[in-house]
Amino acid sequence: MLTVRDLSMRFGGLQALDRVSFTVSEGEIVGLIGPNGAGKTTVFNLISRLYEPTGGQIVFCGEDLLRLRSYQIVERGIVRTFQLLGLFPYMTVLENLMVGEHRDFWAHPLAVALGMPSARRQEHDRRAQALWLLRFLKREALADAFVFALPYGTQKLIELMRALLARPRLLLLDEPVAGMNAAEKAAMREFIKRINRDWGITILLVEHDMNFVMGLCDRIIVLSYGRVIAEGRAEEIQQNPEVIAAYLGEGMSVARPVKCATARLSRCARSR
Amino acid sequence: MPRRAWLALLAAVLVVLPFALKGYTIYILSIAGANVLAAVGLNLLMGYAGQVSIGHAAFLAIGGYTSALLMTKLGLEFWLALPLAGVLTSLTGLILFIPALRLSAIYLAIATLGFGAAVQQLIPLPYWSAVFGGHQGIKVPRPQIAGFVFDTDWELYYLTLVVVLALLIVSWNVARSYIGRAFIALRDKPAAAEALGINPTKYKAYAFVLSAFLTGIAGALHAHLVGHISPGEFGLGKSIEIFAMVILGGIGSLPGSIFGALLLTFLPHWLAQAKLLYTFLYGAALVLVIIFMPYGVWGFFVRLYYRFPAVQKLFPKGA
Repeated sequence: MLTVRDLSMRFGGLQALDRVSFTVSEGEIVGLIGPNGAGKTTVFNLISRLYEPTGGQIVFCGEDLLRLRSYQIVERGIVRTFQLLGLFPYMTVLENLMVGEHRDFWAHPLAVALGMPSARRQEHDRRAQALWLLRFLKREALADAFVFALPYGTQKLIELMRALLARPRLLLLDEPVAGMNAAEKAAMREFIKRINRDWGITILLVEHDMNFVMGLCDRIIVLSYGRVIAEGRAEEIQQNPEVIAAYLGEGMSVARPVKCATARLSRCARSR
Repeated sequence: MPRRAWLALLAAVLVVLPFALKGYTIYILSIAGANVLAAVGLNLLMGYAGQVSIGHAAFLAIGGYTSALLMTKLGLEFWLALPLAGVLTSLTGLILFIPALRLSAIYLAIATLGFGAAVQQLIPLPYWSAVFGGHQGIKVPRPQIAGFVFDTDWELYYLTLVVVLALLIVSWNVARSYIGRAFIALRDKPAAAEALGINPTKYKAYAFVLSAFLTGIAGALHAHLVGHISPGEFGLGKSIEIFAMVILGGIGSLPGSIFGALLLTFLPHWLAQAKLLYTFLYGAALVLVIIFMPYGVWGFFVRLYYRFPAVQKLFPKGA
């Protein structure tokens, strides 16, 4: 479904990505992990066309994504969330969700300005759809709340809901459970599984919580210093000596989450 | 009372208002109506789309001259000249849209400043003084529809009221639609907005066209109310005045712009009795509003609303 081939990105003197290649097949949940600064978010920013790569190819369902502008990506069925929240803080939750439905608004600006029935009906239908999703996730009480007043974990969930309303085929999640407590993380894991299984949405996610990633992803790609150092199922990744050295640290098991700090320490140890 | 009832009451008050006021106050109220449109036009651009303009007086001038000349030189009827003036002004709005694609807030402000100055300097040039009337300007005919001439203060008031209310509804429709949400989305998180399919070029163009349209109509109404138009009216001072209306009323809020425009139109007239102290009092009033109502007059009322439950009962949420 998604093929990334020899993707390189250089920021001045920093080689953020060095000939990164991987694929994501339809229906998979793929995790992208690696120490801070490994280039995970850069991969997302390149797929969503925020950056122009210095080399390589990104092909989605046979189409060269590098020919497209950022705002055209969503029409192809790729939607992303942001590491540091892409919600619009001065809008209500409902309004945020309705921006997620932007691609389904086609009423002519003049029809909108004159308040024509077609434009009103469209607004009404989209609102109903967003409210349906809020009710589905038992968050309907939040509809009129302003986003900036909500807890971080809730904001992450709202952003995921907004992405879903954009009707993705491939969903890119940048740290979907950062700032969540254990119960929220478990609920999020179930929800992502459900999105994948019941709604047929392929998922590529970046996350530092190893328990979460290992328990959820069909396949894991490990980046370090802009290179893919390993790829495979959770068990394979945990045993891979290079991954342990670069990121996981010794004694990693699914039962024990590894903090970012530990990962950074092990990276320092290696560089020494 | 529900929102509709309040709006109906407000409309009724606006309709009977001329019977309770002196001719001159009615005239000032009409002028305020034109200013409301200009402030709302600038607010949609600045408060919603986040594009700063301190050259909006140019759009007032273009709208005013266009409407006047369409009537005097081409003999068009008012009901045709007015919307055409709006449309032509909205096209000139695209001139500002081009630098806006590359410049961010404060740099765009300078570009719009240049645009405003250029338009004001171009109008009185001798090459076309036969049309634009040079520095003296031109007489603007009274609005006329199907032989009926609007020439008393209250006739002009009702005409202005209808045009302003109609365009406020248009502004409200746009602000509350996917287009208004796209403006805000691009203003606050451009990357996230684009990732959701919002084309920044397209929506910036919409913002400039809509803003220039409303301001152009405001300029045309103003010119027809005053009966005369000259380039001297449209300096930086005028642009700053509209800017101040938006900020004082509350940036990003349409009711705020209505408030701001009414306040800044009437304030000079109330203070005129103070003669020599006038400018001082005007400035002091502005400073006080900015200090004690940092979210504008409208934002101040919204905060009061949330602080006092009794008020919330009187005006239920959503009103």
